[in-house]
Amino acid sequence: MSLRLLTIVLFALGTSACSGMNVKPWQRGTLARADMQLDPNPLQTRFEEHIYFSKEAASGGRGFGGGGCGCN
Amino acid sequence: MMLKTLLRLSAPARRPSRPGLALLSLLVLAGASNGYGADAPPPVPQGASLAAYAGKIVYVDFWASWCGPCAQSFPWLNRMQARYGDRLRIVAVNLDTDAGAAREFLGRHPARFDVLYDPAGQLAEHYRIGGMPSAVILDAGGHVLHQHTGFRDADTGDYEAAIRSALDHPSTANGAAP
Amino acid sequence: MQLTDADPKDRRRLSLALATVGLLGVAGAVPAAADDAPRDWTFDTGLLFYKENGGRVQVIEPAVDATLDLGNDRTLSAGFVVDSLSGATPNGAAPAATPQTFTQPSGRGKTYTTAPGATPLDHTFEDTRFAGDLGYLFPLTGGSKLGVGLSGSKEYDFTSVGANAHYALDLNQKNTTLTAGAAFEYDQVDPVGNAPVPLSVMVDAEKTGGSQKSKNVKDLLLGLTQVLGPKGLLQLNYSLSLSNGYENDPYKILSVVDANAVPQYYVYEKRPGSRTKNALFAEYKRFVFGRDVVDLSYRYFTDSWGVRAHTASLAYRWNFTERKSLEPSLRFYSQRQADFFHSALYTGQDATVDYASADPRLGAFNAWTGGLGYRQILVNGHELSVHVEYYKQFSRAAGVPQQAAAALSQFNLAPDLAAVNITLGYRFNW
Repeated sequence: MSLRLLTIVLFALGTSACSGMNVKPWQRGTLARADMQLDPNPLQTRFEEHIYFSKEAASGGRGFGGGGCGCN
Repeated sequence: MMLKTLLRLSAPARRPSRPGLALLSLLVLAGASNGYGADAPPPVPQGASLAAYAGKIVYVDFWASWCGPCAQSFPWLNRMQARYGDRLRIVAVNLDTDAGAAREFLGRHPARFDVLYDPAGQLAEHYRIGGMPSAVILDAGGHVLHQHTGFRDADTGDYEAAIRSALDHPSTANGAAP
Repeated sequence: MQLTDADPKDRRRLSLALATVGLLGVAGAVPAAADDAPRDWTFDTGLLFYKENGGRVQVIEPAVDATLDLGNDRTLSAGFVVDSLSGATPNGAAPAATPQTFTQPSGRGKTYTTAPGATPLDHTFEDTRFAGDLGYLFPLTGGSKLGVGLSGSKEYDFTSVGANAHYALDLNQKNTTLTAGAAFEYDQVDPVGNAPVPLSVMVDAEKTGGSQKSKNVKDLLLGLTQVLGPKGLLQLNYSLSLSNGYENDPYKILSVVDANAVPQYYVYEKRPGSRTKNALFAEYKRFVFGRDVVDLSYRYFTDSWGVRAHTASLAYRWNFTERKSLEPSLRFYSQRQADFFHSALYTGQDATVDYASADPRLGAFNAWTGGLGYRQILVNGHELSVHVEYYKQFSRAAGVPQQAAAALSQFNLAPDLAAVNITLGYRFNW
């Protein structure tokens, strides 16, 4: 619990300078849109990654998590 | 059944005592919100009135059309309103900025309880809700008896226990007007 | 307002609510619902058609992703894809002024011939790959989630199995999310006609390098997602990949030429036994004009083989009605060749190099992709999509042996690659 508290304190202090970018939980209607997710079309992304993986030397980088409605 | 009722609160909401959680919230809010000091009183929404809910326990549920768990909570809220009838008033505060979206949601998930519209988020701000959906149980005097964030099927037992505990709360007995 | 967002996976709960109301004997109007069927599943299906120019690779690839909402923020997912590949692929040899004959990988006296001046292509590849994955996502205390998964794939000469886990921690009322992922994969290759001894001369006889080769890959991903106001989102990731084992392509060769660019013999390629890859990735999404979405991303990639690559991508989703959208996209990719990339080797060089490969995938090129996608939400709430892309690689000759450079310059050592792909998609809840 205290480690989590410490992490929160550090982040709150860190982001308080740029607090303008944080939104309240009820202000996430736009972020909840399907087309505002980081990967709205996972199947399409997988097809593309597969093609590029077999034709190019670079790979990786894409991630997951965050954004969205923030519900629950 | 929709009733446009304005809420006025006689006293600022008090949080349930859990020091760690309180400190956590204050720190997060200090970082996350603009301008609120930890001890400055939050603004009370203008022109709000709790008259219609005098002597009743109020379950205030904050929801929006874009919130998936909110869709799951409405049937349960309907059940709670039916089960506790007159002793409990459920008020679902809608936070959509697009009224059409809220209407469409209510078409798919009918509410057999009061719905209030708060597109500017004033009530949400007042109760400092920390997530969507959120629920706040108020006693007759407008004091916060219980608050929880999120809606999960597995926790509905806990939510209902909080309702029952609020209904048995001593301040209900004298039915004091706010 | 997106119909697919808060789309009722709750219909089951709604019907449970009705049942409970019935039991309590409370009269009430039955809420109007399109139907009361359970909606916990989401199916995402797609079909990819891919075709390169010049009789090269063609792929047909159907895929399905299924997600089951188990309630209480737990999700089960499963995916399956079949990848049917045919057509020709470069074998790594350089063009020559006279016809060239190569033994097929299966050996046994079968050969194929390439015309003068043409890039040697092996037509004998026809393969079908089956791949599947399973995943389970569940919440942990403290505002975090954990996902675990398994994956596997199988084709004629290649088998792969893997396990992965990913963790996400929400902070600042979910405005900030820290993510960490790890994956492990074990690959086994059983080359057709056995594996060749690396850098040995290609002869029409049984290859003697062994029948089964393997490698393992360990991946790590660290990420940060930050909400930038009510309409913006930023993601930053770092990924690391460590690969050890058999990294060679057992079917790729290099031409060993004299000063007149006449091929003397061919040798099998050799790559290092390990590869470390790093990538830094950034993506920015913004909701604009109260209707559309802009998506910008950039990736910087380096690896221990000397490859450096930049990838920049821009997509604009134009939601011209509430249910229909058009999404043009543009991608630019630039790659510097691997240290041991050679277009060809000069006589004797095959005895002195540590590693050598002529695989165009490790060469130097720029690539552009232009795409256009159309999406429509149908009356029944299902989503239909069509996506078309045109991909073109502009290759540059690299790794040309100096002694034969003048003679080799008469050939196109780095042919461009062009490909078209079309994806059809259909997504629905059930």
